[in-house]
Amino acid sequence: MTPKLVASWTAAFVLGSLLFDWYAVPIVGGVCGWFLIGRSPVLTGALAAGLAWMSLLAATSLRGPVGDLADLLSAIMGVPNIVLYLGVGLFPALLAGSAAAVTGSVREALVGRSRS
Amino acid sequence: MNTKIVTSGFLGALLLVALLWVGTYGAFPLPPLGRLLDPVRGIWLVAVDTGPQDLDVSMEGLDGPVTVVYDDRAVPHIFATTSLDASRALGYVVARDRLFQMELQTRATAGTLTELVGETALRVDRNARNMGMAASADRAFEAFDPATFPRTLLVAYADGVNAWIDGMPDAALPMEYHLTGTSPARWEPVHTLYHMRQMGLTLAGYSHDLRRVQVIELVGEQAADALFPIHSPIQEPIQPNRDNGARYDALQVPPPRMGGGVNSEVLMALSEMLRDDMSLPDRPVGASNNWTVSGARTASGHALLAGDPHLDLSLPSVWYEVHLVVPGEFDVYGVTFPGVPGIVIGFNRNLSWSFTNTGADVMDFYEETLDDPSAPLRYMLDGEWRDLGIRVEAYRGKRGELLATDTIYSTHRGPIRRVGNRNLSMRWTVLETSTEVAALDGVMRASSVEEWRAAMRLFRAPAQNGVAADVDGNIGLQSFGWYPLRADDGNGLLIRDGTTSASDWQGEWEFADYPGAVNPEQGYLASANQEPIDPRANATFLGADWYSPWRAIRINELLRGNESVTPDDMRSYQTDPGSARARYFLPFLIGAVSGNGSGQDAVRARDILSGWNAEYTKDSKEAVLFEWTMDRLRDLTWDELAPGGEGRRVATPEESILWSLMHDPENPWWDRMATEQVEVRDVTIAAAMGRAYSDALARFGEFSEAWRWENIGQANIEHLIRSNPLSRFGIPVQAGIGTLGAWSRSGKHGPSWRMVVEMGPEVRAWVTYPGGQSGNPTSPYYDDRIEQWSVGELDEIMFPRTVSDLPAKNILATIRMEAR
Repeated sequence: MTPKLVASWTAAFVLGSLLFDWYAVPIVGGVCGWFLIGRSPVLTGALAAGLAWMSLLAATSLRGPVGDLADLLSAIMGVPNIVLYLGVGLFPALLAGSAAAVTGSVREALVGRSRS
Repeated sequence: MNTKIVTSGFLGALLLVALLWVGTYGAFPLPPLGRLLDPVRGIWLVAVDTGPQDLDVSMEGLDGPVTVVYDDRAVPHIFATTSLDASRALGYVVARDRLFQMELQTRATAGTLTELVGETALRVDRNARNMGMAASADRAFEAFDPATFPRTLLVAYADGVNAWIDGMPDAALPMEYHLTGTSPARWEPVHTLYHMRQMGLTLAGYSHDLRRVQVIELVGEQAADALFPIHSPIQEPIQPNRDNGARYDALQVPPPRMGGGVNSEVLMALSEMLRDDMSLPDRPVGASNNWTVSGARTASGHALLAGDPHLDLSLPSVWYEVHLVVPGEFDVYGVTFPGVPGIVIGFNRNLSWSFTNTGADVMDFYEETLDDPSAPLRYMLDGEWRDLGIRVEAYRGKRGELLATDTIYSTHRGPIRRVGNRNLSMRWTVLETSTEVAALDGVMRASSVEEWRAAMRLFRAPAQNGVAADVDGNIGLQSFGWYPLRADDGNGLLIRDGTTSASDWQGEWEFADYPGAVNPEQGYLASANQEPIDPRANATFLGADWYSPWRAIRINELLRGNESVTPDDMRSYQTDPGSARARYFLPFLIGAVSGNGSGQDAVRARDILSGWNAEYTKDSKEAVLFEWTMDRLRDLTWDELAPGGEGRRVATPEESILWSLMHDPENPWWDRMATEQVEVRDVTIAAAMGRAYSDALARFGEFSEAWRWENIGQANIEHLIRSNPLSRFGIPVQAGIGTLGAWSRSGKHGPSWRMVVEMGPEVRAWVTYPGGQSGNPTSPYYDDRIEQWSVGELDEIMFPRTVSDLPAKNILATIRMEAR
């Protein structure tokens, strides 16, 4: 896992999220797991997805008072606002990481079978 | 195969499925997290929508170009070439700011809230469908000719709402949809009729009949008739009676019949129904005011009009401010209900108008005989069995799953409710009308008081007291609505025998008999929910248990005492702290406490109240004590109306009845059930004052600045989804019970719109309401008017004739609409 690799996948997650919907995250995560066999696909996918959504949130905050909104939402939901920010990072990270784990396992199983 | 790979894949798959589930469907209490947290399309975008933006819109069906200019108060001025285009644009801009509110209120009437929020709303939905409001609106809409007004107007409005929904940018999706994980439903033209029925429920959904049964069970019929009389003992009607002041018609209150005959089964059944049943709510708080002054009594020589309808205070507000211009048809400014294609209260270049609730009795119950109470098919009428109307209602959850079904029966009178072992059908004017939209459209086009009266004849429910003034100096006040004539003595307080058609309504009031006046000699007219007409002028049953006329007395006093009224006087009257109620009661309270025999606390309370000017200013320290004394006095006096003498009363008589009782110091009602001795008036009053003083002492400490009225007299403006962070609580107001500002105990009811209009050659108007134009809590226009409203100030509005009349510096945004 290199910074360059993470940055590339972060860009892929950003693009997927912009073009499609949040469903793009597990799909890109799955692709990540398939192609990064042997190169920490789960960690790379999770980190990149989390970074991608945090970057997108930062971009949104340039267009309006996201901080005020987070304060309001945290009051409505009865949780500290840090939980909301963490959610934006963790949810896609877990989604992408689990998808990468699934496709990575399938790929490794297939590769193992062809070797044997 | 490598175990590690299998384990990793299996755990990954499990987590993935769980996350996809939570992301798509949520997990109680979490909404779907994928859509919620998504930084591109999720709830974060709510922060981006900070107010109206310039926009070019292409809309199907437009007759011509439409320009919408938002001024710097975020009020849209709509310039269209046809009235249908104005309706389309109105639907568009209201949906832009209030979409969730529109859907929530529609669903509340339709009984489909479960589809938005799940099973928790099932009871509320069941009540709504039992009332049959949506079903009756559907029938009314179907009866409209598809090609003509008013159906075309409703369709145009729906087209505008749906054009907004279809073209809405992601950032504009209201926060509430994100939080509930739902999407906006299509707006159907019939939904406007749903809204009119919802307003009917709010303002005319109260029945005296069932509560009267409870009171009779507890204290007997004679006492019940006196406590909840057909005519108010204090007469200050909206139709001037030339008394030049309130008149007291002595009322004798017979003693309660106690100690037997209470049918606890009936009491229980009714209590359950009345307390828990949204469809028959507690009596609404009556506190609206309107008045008008002829040019002969104003400083400018032009007629003035003021209106402040009181409703539940909510965020977003029940009102939306807007200006509609269609050259040659109308140029009208005011407030609309989100969901209604027109101005409800406002003014045009020639006429201004406002409303208060009449409070007429327009809901009756009939005891029906069914062929089989457990699975009925027919009901008895005039010796013959007639088929029941049978409707099966299905309730669905957020994902369309079936939650429950109900079978709802109805007779020719209306839907049947089961109360204990009785089957009561309900007849209610609100379910049988559909001409209100046409009436409001006619009013927008009216140019004189007489044309306004003619247009409002179509307004059938909920019954309203309208006030109007025109540029020619005419002023008018008139009750409007459908007032039924009952059989026999005309009394509408009875549960009548449903087996005979002789029990049915026999007709309705002639319009010529409606309470009202035009250009009276006194030079002013006012209404404040009091009994509209003096029974000495017309004693026909119109309603009962009228609100005490404290506000009417006060406003008439103020208007009588000022022969040169200015718009600013009108504004200041809307928050006038003077209380006729306090002035009426204070002498009795002070006189009741004679010495130490009344107790030290009562003596201290008397001394404090003796120095009070009967004004509910925010800094008044005496007002707290007076208000709490009145609360305790009600509890001690009307203890017979609480089953067992304690707890929740089945009903509370108006304070005009309590004031009548003051004139009968040894009336048995003063005696308290909880004590052995027999109390008379002054003993009970002293006890109430002593308790109020000790309670205030316990809460605020020694009599000091801490007793300021503003610590009690506060408004609480609750968000529609009852979320505290979205609400605004504890707003001090200069108002008390019975003052023109009309504070309510919960603080959740109050002046929902304030307007003063001067009908000069160039109409000028000043307005505000407790909220803001936007339903988005992060918008600067969400609650920007609350501060102004709380101190009784108003904004002067802009009333441009053309787009170019609006100064560029006051323009916030422009929407240009073209036909697609």
